[in-house]
Amino acid sequence: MNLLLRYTTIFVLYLVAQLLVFNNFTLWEVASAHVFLVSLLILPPTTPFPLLLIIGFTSGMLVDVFSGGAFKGLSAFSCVLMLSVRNAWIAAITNKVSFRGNEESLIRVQPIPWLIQYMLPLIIVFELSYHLLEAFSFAHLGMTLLKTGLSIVYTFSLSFIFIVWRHQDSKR
Amino acid sequence: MWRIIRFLGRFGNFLLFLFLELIALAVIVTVNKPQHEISQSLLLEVSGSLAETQQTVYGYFNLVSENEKLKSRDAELESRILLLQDSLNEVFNRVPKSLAYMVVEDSIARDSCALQEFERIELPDSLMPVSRYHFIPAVAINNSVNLNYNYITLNKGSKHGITLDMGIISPEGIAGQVVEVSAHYSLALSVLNKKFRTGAKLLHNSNVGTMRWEGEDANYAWLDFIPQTSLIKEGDTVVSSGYSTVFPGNYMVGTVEKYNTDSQDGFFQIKVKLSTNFRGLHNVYFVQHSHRAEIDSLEQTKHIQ
Repeated sequence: MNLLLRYTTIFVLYLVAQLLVFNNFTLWEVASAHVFLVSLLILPPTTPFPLLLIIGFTSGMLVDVFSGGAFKGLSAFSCVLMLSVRNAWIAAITNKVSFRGNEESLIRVQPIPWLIQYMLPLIIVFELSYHLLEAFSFAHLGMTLLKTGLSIVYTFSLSFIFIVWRHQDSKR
Repeated sequence: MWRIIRFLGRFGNFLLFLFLELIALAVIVTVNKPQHEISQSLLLEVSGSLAETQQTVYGYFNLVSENEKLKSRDAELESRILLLQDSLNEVFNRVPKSLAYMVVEDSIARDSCALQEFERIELPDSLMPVSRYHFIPAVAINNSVNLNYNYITLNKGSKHGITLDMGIISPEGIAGQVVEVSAHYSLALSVLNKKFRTGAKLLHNSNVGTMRWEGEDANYAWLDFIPQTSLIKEGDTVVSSGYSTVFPGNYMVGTVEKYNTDSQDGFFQIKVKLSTNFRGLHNVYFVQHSHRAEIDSLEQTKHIQ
């Protein structure tokens, strides 16, 4: 229960930050930062898969509903897609033999290279799905891919800073 | 029961994933306007190509009757051409030979054949009759008559110059109006649709009313707003009013089946027998009006004021 409260609070904080700050900071109106993804990326790897999907859907929908003017449903779809591959991806890149810590704190203690390896593909999945659905056609594919690429860089840099700053143990 | 639970246990995660993604997708294509439009035209393209495949198979069974229809239409047109030729001859015989713009290039051949002379007549451009309507032939690949809101799918789309709101006519009478266009297909509101309205008039006295369909019978529609002061009898011809760019004026709609004067508002209730056979709709034409944009923008300015 304590855990649930903790992650809910973190999500609400990121949601507010996303709506009030980051939605207004687009790079040349092309790249957008989806910093609320941090609250999904730091979920414990032991979270059951169905719960993970429902959390992703709910939080994505909340972001969609409260972002005025943005298209509805895009974040929900992309969040579910991203979280559906998350657990498999963690299992694939984590060496279980050498890791002896508590799995719940996995993300808190992993080194920087692992963190990049973990975050970047998931953010690519999210942004690719988000921008392709926003365009909803392959007519201006170049522009769509440019938006996707810049958004990946933008979102990744900000999320990386936040995770290292707030969600990792300072001494390793 | 146990099997169902086991099935859910095995595929439950995947089903949940599919379920949530479908909900999100449904929200995306219903709430957002651009995505909605794109998905609509995509759906039309898919259902259109399916219906076309079906139509090419079923079309073979109707070849004989279609052929008969075309033959009779051909004969009818032939006789009309002869009739027009006759009246044309008559008119030209009355025109004085010294008419200014009758240019006879070859004086030797002048008297050889009366018809050849007519062909050499050159009218100035301003006097040439200009047809404002163009007809684009198409085939109805899907059509229903049994619903309250019937639609016709046609095998031509924006690549063939089809735009929204174009009229659809069959050789027998009016048939519908385009409401949705994709690259290769278009969807038209059938006359047999409760949303369909068009101007129609009685041919003999040009009293204009509004035609609607009530969803009862595919053979009959209703004509409203014809005042009870006008003369009418059963069997009178009803044609399109020509007050819009959708259908050409005086195009066949149907005949008066029966009428009654029961209502107190001073208008007839006229039941019209539609001349188009919607059950066997196959060959149709899109109606393209060449000055349509001009007329629309002109009428728009009046509405704004």
